[in-house]
Amino acid sequence: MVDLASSFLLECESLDLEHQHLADIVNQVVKVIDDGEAEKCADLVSEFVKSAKEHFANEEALLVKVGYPHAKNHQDHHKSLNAKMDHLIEFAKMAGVNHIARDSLRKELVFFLMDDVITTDMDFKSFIEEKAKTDNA
Amino acid sequence: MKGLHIVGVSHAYGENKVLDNASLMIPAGELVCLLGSSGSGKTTLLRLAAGLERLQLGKIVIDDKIVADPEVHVPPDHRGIGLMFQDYALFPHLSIIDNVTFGLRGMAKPKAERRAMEMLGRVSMTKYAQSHPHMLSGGQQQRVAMARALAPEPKLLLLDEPFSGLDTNMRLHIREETLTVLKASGVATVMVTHDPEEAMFMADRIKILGESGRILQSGRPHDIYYHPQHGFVAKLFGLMNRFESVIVGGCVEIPLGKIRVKGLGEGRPVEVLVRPEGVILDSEGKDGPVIDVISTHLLGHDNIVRVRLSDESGAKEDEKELYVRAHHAFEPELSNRITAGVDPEYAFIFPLDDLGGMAGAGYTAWPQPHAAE
Amino acid sequence: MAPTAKMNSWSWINVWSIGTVLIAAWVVLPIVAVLYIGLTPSDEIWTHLASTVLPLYISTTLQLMIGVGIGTLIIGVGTAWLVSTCRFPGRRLFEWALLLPMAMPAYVIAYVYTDILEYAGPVQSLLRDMFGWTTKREYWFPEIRSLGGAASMLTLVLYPYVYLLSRAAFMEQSVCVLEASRVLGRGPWRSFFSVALPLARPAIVIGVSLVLMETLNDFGTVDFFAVSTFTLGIYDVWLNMNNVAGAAQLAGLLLFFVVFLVLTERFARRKQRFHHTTSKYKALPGYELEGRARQLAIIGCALPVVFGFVLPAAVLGSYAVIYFEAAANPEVYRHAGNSVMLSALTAFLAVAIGIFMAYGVRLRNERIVRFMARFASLGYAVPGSVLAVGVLGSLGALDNGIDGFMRRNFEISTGLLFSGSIAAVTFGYLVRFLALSFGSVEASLAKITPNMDGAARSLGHGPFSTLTRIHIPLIRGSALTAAMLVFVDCMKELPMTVILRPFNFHTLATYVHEFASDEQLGEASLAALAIVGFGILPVLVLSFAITRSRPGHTKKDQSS
Repeated sequence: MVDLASSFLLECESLDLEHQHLADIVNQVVKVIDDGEAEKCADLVSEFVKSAKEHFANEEALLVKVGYPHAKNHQDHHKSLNAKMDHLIEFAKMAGVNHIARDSLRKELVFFLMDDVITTDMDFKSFIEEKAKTDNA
Repeated sequence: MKGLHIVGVSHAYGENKVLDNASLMIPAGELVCLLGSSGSGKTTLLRLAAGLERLQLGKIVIDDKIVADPEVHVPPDHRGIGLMFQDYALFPHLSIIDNVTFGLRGMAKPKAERRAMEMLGRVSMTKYAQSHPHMLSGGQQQRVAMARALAPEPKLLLLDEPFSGLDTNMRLHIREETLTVLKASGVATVMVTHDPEEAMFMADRIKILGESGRILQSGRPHDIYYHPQHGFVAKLFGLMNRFESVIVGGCVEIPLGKIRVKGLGEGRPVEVLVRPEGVILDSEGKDGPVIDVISTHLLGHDNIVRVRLSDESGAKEDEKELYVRAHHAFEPELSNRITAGVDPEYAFIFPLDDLGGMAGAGYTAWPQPHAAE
Repeated sequence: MAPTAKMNSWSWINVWSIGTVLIAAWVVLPIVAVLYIGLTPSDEIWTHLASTVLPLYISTTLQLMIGVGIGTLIIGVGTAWLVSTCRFPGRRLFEWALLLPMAMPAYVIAYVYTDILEYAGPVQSLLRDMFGWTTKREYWFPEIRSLGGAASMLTLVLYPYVYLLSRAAFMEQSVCVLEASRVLGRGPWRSFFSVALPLARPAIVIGVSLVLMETLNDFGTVDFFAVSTFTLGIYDVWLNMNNVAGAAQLAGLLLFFVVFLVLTERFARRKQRFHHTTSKYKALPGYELEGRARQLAIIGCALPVVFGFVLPAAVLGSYAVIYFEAAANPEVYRHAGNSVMLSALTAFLAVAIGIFMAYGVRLRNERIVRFMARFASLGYAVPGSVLAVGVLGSLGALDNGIDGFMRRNFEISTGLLFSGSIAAVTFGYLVRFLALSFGSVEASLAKITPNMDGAARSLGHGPFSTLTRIHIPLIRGSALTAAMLVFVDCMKELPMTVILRPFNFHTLATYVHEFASDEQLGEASLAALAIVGFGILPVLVLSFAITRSRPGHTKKDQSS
């Protein structure tokens, strides 16, 4: 199960909520696989990919708005994840009938969310924290 | 969430920066390989996770507990990690069983010994329990080292080039065995290696470390091999045929043929890397440039063939000699005209004018792979 | 986003590093005390000394150093060259027998030779009988109790340092280098001077610097021969003129000689590292010596052994038999007990502290920790006389401080707690011999891969548990050797013991010194022989090491 303890929080409410939403979907995928209802994966994963893309867009807009100097790099990083998301969707389609696809999907989904999305977002955590402080002051 | 979480770790020895904003997350039960050449900081990352080195910048979290940040330093003996070294570091003055029980502090002796025997059983080493390390072969020492590291049920296992001390035959066998034992124990594992093949074999996810510790790409072995996001990553996995060209009309032309590219502007200079298996030899010699076979080397199922493009191909002098991976049935002796083509799936295109702009602020983002079509 | 080192600038602070730094500071204290007392302005003593005895001290000391330096250089390098590159009967025997004189303290050999070479001694009596002389004026015989005599005595017992180091250097020289030189048409002699000697130079320099440090340290010989060196001057000013400040000023000046020697030695050691061109050794083929050359080689190797060890040991042995009644009195046993007790205590402490410091450096290889550890191991270079002044100076200040504190607060006078106690002697020994144990413990710790530490730590063992369960068992052998070396050096130690010992307290060394100075060598013979006997222990260890490390002599398979 994926749970987002403090080390995964950005301390930026909107983005953290979006991360949590993605984590919830991942947990649902894990659950349906465990319950032997893997055919439900396809819908869940397309929702996941849709939410992830929305999240990327929101995040990119926010980073530009607050003037994060490396916003472009982060955007490039998001773009580089497209191929991986395509793979996730393909795995999910096969998950109902193919146990290797199930295993790969579960594994990749967790890595994708935790390593590629949330951990990489930590890069700008200190920047937006500083930003919030100076704005409040 | 259970596992290892490393956030924004940078490390320098004096002026020498070995890690630059490295981040990674390893869920329990998964195995991540850090792949890089020597000096890429991969071992430093391991030592930081183990607590053998003090963290300078960033944060290390094991099972949701901060074990290191610039203020906190949990010593290695309180981190609940297992470590396995290239030289195994078995204690030479202790018997095998004593080596394994060494990590079972606070456990009553009979219980510790039972547990140690159980672990030795898992790596099929029970009958050597009373031996001393110097009496064992390299492979046996490796197994004992793993039993010793896993006996205290660590939350995290760190492997530093664990197979490099073994000869090739042994290595294949032992790494398969190791993988089985690791998966059975469900521990989060980080393995450091410089051997791409080993990384592909072992890893659920590979992280490529470039110079001065920048993470260049992370993904499944499949992603890394078929969708390299950087020339450096592509070149890591064996031989590559390299060409330089420019984008014309949404295509890039190399002596082997035209490849369609999307996402790169007209007239941009690019580097085209083609894996040996991406060069297709045709012994019927229908179309494509004619080649001369220089030599063939049978690897078993495949041949590695060195070929030379004919002068009519118009290839630049330094782009004429190619490496090709061909099916074992390919026998150049039996044909009189061989031509070559390219399989776009194994061809990777990277802009050459973009490299300077990439020295950003430690991002994993690198030039987009421009999938050939 | 560069990693900042700022927040970690105090991170070296923990028990091990603080301990290491504190021990080092404590060990350095006597040297600091000497400089402090020496630099404190006092009465006119300095100008007085400078105008009267100082020039004499300097010139005598320099002459002695030059004499001993040249003597040990010739004997040490010559014999080392013979046994390592030539083949002649008895070479294997000489290889280790040449080390035997190391077991002889210089003062013991001085007493023995004085006894046999003085006017009433057997040699001159024999000459007079043979030639029918009756008075001293009728013939010339070298005066043993002279500068030349002292230089000879020191040379005879100190050359093994040069021998040992240059022999190792000759052996390590790749056969290829020497053979290449010979193939290029250079004979054995020219090969020696143009190839072997220059390659071995750093090792030889180290050996000679160690010899000169020992020469500066010597008290027994120069005292007995009344050769006015610096060391003797310090004792004279202190004990006879009762002037501590003057003694400290002389000691401070002597430190300059020492600094020069230490720098020379360190420099040579640094150079030595670059001289190891290859690690492929094979047994040197050697030049087979014939006829005259063979006889000369045998004689050349035999003489230092005979005069440096066999003869004096035989004389002492015969005296011990003749004077057994007088020599084997209960007092001697008590002094032997004192010696063993003090030496064993120091050996134990030196090794324990050495392990602590070496491990502290290993745990935290911070510059300050490393520097303090290096600094603390300088004691081996500082002459016992200088250390004695420093130990008394610093302990005296400590005693006065405690006494003052107790009087003010509790109206009790504690008097002198440490000065003139066994603690003072042990402290002095520790300061001087810590380098010995620290050095060998550090060297053998360095052979343990840091991965062992990593493995033990990750298996849940803290630094202390790792030390006791991994490192100490692994370095046990060399720790014991280190303990033995310190033990034996303490047994032989004279210059500090003479000053620091409690009133009426004797060790074997001070007992021998007292009786032999009174020309009662017979009574002291058994005690002297005991010191020599202990001194043979390290020689045995060294010769064992020599036979084991002989190139081309493969190590026994360890897995059996």
